[in-house]
Amino acid sequence: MRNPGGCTEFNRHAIHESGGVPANSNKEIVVNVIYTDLAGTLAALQSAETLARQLRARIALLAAHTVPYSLPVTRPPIALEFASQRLLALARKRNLQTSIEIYICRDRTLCLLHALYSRSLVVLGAKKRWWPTRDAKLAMRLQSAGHQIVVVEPAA
Amino acid sequence: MLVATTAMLVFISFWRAAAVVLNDMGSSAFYAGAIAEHFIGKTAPWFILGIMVLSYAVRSVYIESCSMFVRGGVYRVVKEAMGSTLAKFSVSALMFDYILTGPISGVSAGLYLVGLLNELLHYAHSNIVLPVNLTAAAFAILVTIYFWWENIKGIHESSEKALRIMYVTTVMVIVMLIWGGYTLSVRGVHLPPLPRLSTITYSNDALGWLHNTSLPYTITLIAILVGMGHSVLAMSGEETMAQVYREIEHPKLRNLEKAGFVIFAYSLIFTAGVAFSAVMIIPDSVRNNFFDNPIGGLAMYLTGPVLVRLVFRAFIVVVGVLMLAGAVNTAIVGSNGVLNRVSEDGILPHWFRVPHRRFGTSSRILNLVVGLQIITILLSRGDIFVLGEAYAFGVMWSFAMKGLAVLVLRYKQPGKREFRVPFNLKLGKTEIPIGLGLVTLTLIALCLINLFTKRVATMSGLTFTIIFFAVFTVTEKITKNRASAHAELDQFNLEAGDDLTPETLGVRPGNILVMVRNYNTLHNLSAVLDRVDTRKHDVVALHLRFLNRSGSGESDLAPEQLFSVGEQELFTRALNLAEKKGKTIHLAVAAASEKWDAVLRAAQSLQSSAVVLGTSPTIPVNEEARVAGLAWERLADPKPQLSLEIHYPTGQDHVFYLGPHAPHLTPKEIDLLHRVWLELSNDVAPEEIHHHDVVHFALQELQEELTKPHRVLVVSKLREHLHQIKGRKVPHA
Repeated sequence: MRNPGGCTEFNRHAIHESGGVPANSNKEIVVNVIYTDLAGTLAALQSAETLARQLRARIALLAAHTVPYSLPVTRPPIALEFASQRLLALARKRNLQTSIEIYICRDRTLCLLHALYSRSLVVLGAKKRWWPTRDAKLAMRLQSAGHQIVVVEPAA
Repeated sequence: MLVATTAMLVFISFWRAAAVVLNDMGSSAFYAGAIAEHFIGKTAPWFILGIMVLSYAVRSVYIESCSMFVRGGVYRVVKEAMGSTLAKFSVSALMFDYILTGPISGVSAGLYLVGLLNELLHYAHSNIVLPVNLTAAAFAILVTIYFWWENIKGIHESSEKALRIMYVTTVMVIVMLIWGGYTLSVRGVHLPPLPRLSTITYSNDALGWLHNTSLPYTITLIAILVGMGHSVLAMSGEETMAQVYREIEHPKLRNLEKAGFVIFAYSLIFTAGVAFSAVMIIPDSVRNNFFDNPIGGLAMYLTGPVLVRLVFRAFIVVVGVLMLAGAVNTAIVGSNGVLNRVSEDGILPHWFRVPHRRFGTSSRILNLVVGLQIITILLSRGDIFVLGEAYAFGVMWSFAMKGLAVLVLRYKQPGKREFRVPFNLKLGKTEIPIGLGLVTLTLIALCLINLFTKRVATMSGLTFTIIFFAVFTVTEKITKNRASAHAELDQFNLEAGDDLTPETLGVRPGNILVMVRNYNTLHNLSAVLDRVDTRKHDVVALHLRFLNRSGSGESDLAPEQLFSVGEQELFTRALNLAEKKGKTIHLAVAAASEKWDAVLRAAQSLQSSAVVLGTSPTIPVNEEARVAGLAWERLADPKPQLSLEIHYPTGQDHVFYLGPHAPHLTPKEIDLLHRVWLELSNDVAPEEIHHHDVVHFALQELQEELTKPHRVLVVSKLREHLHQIKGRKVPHA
């Protein structure tokens, strides 16, 4: 089950297409890579690749784009086509077979908390700083929600 | 590689909604009172108070428009009510408002900062005095450029930040009120003079083209309107309320009303409080030195040690810069949003929306907006009064057009509304909206008076509006054929999957499955959303696309084959309905060849507890239930327990239970059971007997009767009973 904690309510605009026939749900292991920036995500993908090989897991690349309140949530400031091409290019660069999930939301942390299954394995690429950065705060929040977080520092 | 896109809408509380609006609206408290006093003298606080009361009335106009259009900003509402031409005019005025919001907020932040720096330099016995307006303008340009770059990169923002800024601001307001109250108790309270013809003192630039007439000096109404016209800045930011409405949690409209009241109370205390305190605390002889940073001046004239006052002033500057800089960003984001919207509608060339090569944002629109804002700052040379005068034009015309549009809609779409601006008189079948009419009339009167008294605003506002209007009109003509016919529809992305399971849809077992077929008959979804608390039970809206038997199963369907424009419209309407009620829904589409098999298999795999449909125009309800029952028998084991609800457009519904279930007993049946239990409990005493024992025993007896030779008699009696109660059966309402 996806974790509903931290989110009062949410609305998914994605339309799930199906023949309506249930399939056996196999509980595969997923290594979730969260998009931070280009360098950070590349480093995270590299680590995720190693982890996925060891755990025989699948990699999922998740990007949460925040939309300011002045814009409708379905009209993000970043063109979605562009965002997906950027993520596809990143995955191709590492020659990875991965699913890509783009979320457009009002709050990145709440959105990711909802999008991740409980106790997920998450890899996040972020530069280390002496002050709490946005990505470091996200990692801490996800960790406190029970997810296993691996923070990878991109090469300088 | 699969790419899935999902929009996640987290519904927010009315507190958070109020914080988002106040972040935008509250920033005007930093300059509105002082600008008004510059133009109309010491009576200004009363006019600010009047404007705050008017803003509460204007807010009710916005609430009424929100009750009709979940996504109803000025453009949408005016277009619906009065057509495209006036909508283009309104959006041009709104753009002028947005373009001016950035510079006025940036310059005001700069003025607070430079005011503090000069004060500190003075206390440090330095001879350096920073040029006030020039430094403020430079600061405003820096802030604008900073936010331009943030927006080019694709800004990250959350309502959490808005809430935090409001916490800090609240601390500042509370300290200011308590300290100000103490100061007044020590020095004595002297309220500003009430506005009368004799007490209103106009500055040289307050009357514009009315300067050489006697009207403002002889007619009280004109004088009041002039005063109000110079104070309207205090109520900017209402448009944000329409934008936030979409995301307010259930019960949506009631929460919007609460948010509206919180905004009113807060801005009344803050904006009017600052205006009154400044006049009462800062001495008349020096107050004009602080017209550009009144709260900073207020801090310096409170009772207490200089050092503490300086610290408080520094705190005010930090809060002011945070809030005003936030308003600069809101102005950029808001303009970007409006221009993107009109571009999608075909009244601005698509060229503007071409994404930035590196960041994917609409950089051309951002460049245009920020370019215009920087030009405005340069032209104003950091003069807050010039900016304030011009700013009022956009604010007032967009409000007046909105009021007029809502008034027109009372007659054009006279149907039921969840909220109406109060004070409506009914004469026969005709409704006379006195309250709405008065608000609109006041707004229009203020617009007209401002046309005459604010030369800069009239000339710059009209020029800007005409240019934008012309661009919109010409572009619309050019792009008419190319404009997207479905710009109003939401964009959905198909997330392909082999099955419908709680995991793939992200729903919990026990969810409610609502079948949606036609966007005009979503009453079943509406009824479910009214009843269900989506925090406890998820609601899935499922659309079945029927395939020809010959075509099904031969090859997979491409998403675009499965998702037509009709379905896009259907889901847009379903989503609008859910947003209007502040509830969550999960959308799904599935291919099917047989209705009931598909519906029940979907319910089984989603582990739904109920299936909800609308009535069929061709099949009677009982027949539908019978076919559903047969399909239920065909389901693979384990068969689910399901309730089947069929809703009429009138609001009535029929509930059927598929599979074993506890029956719903009528009060009469419960009474009968109780009477039998009472009688038997005496007879079997001291044995303990419960109501369910009576039911169990009766059922066992009936089952045994049915195995005996007089079974026919029992069935005949049952038939007679059913015949007797037939007329008494009432569908669930």
